[in-house]
Amino acid sequence: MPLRDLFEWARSLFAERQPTIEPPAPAALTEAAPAPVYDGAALQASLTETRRRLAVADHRLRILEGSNRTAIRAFRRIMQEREQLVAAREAAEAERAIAVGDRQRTMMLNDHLLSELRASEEARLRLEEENRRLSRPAPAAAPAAEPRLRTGSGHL
Amino acid sequence: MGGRSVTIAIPVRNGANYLGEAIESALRQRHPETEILVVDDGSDDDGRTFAVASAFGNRIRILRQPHGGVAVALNTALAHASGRLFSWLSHDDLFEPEKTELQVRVLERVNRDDICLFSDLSWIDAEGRITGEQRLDHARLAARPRLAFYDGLINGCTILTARDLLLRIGGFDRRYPHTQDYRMWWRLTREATFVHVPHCLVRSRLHPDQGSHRSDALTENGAFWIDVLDGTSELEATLVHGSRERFLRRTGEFLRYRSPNRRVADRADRMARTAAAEASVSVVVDIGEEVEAARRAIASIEAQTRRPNEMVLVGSATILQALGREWACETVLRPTAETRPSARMRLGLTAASGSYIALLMSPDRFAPEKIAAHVDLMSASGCLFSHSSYRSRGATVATGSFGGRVYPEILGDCHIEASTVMVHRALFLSGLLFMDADAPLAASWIEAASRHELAGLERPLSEIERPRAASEAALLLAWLRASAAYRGHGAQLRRLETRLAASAPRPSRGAYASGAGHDRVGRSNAAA
Repeated sequence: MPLRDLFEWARSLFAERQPTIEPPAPAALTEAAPAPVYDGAALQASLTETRRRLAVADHRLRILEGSNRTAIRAFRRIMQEREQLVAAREAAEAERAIAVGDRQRTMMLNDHLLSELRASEEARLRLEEENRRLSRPAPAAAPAAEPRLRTGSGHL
Repeated sequence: MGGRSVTIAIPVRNGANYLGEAIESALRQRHPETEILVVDDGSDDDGRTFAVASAFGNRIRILRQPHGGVAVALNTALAHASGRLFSWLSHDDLFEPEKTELQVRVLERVNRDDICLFSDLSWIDAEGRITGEQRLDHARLAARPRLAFYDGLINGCTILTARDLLLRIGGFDRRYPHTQDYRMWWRLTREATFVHVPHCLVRSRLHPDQGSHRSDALTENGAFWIDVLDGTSELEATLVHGSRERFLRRTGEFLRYRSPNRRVADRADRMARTAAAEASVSVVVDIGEEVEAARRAIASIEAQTRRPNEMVLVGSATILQALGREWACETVLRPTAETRPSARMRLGLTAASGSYIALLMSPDRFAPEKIAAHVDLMSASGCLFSHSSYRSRGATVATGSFGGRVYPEILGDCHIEASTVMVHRALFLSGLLFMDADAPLAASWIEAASRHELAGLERPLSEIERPRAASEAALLLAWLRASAAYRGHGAQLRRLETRLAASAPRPSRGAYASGAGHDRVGRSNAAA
């Protein structure tokens, strides 16, 4: 049962138990049994006490209703924070994938650059070797030597 | 339209049966800046498809073109889209209402234009009833984003990316009416990063009228995967699965069990069987200070059962010249005045072209089966770093039993000798090896172990004249203490300190050279 309805029901119980002082019907006065003795002061005290309890119950109901609204607001706030945390977590996981992707693309680029570096270094060494060969004086009366291209061998 | 604007392209041909539902799902998107662009690719159904689209009035845009195929329709949409971001919806599929909003939110947070988001999806039948879900392994895809393409996990209707990115890489290839999307993802894998969004954002319909069931589509699909097998480089394959052999095996498994491409799967398996033998190998040799010792080291390389593709000789010009030039192996020379071991190794690795690179420091030597054993292990396991046990002055030092995920244990116990190591070039390209010229060689093994598993071979495959690991311990301890990444591992550093103190010479009992006593490392492989 919802909390509000529970207290409405409690209030109705207090309301039902409030004694109604009604004048006795005239016919009842002719009953053979003697009329009961009503203690007015006690009844008044009982009524006062009941009203006091009802006021306290109403006050407590208002406090709980306020707490319920507070609880609802807190719950909504928690749900919003949870959504933000989920979004932050998903963004962090996305950042992780992006970092891996960036690192791998950098590796591919490094590989390409190193390949270019190797090729240019080999070309430079071949040119140096060719230059040294051409700088050597030709031997006397020797047939012209065919240029030899040594590809892939080490050069100092 | 602004920076958060999205175009949802819906290419369609004779799709009156489901087009209305697809458009309605696009109109229900919660993201406010959404444009819906229907491209009628030459429907010839007496105007029924056009009538369905027209019924939505000015809430959508409609373009009509002669029949050219899905790729042409998508390129038309790309050319005419006004949104900064682009997604596409098949005429027989549906978007969940939160699809665009959720993905835009992710893109806004990462703030990058080289990202392609994709998500999970639900399967629906011809009547639109949900029959299942495809939920992908989010953590695995975050750690290895290229698997999104190579494991065939991307459904084109789940994507959201920058329109400019798709235009920059040339749009969809019209030559391939059935695989234009796969070919786009392949290019995107090289130019961008696929990021998985772990939500079911699309309802994908499975029904008999789908074009993907036709035999010409299957033929084209097979041709595509053959192109992938042939066109994925050794390095790309390593980035995905650790080695080309493992890449081919795993792709073959995917093709055999999760696609109808049995013949291509067989091809992948055949290629996998020869991958290790076809891998290129370099040996980087620090030639040291003695010519004869260097000759013996080089001779051990030339005596390999599996000869390497090249040797890279690093050292002083004088020693290199004295060594001469006539070697059976292809040789690359790198003369240098540098004396620091890490710097010389880095110079050699920069010059090496092989996929697998063995390290050798003269006067050490290789056992004849060294290269074959390392390459076979690394190719089969996908490990990027391997080392072996070795022999030194007649004794076997069983350092090869140290393997697996050994970090941070390796900080306190690193007995790996450089001349026992083989690495994959991907490890060097990732910037983990010999980046600090002043650091001890062990620093590189630690850097590698902090990110990757190490493979250990228990057979002694190298002959080490002068083990260096023990003599480097003091330098290693100082380097670790100075490193922000490692100084916090107090227990391991204390263990290293204790080992260093224990190996210090004791003058009262007669000195013994530091490192001359070889501890037998009987440690079992760390659990993966």
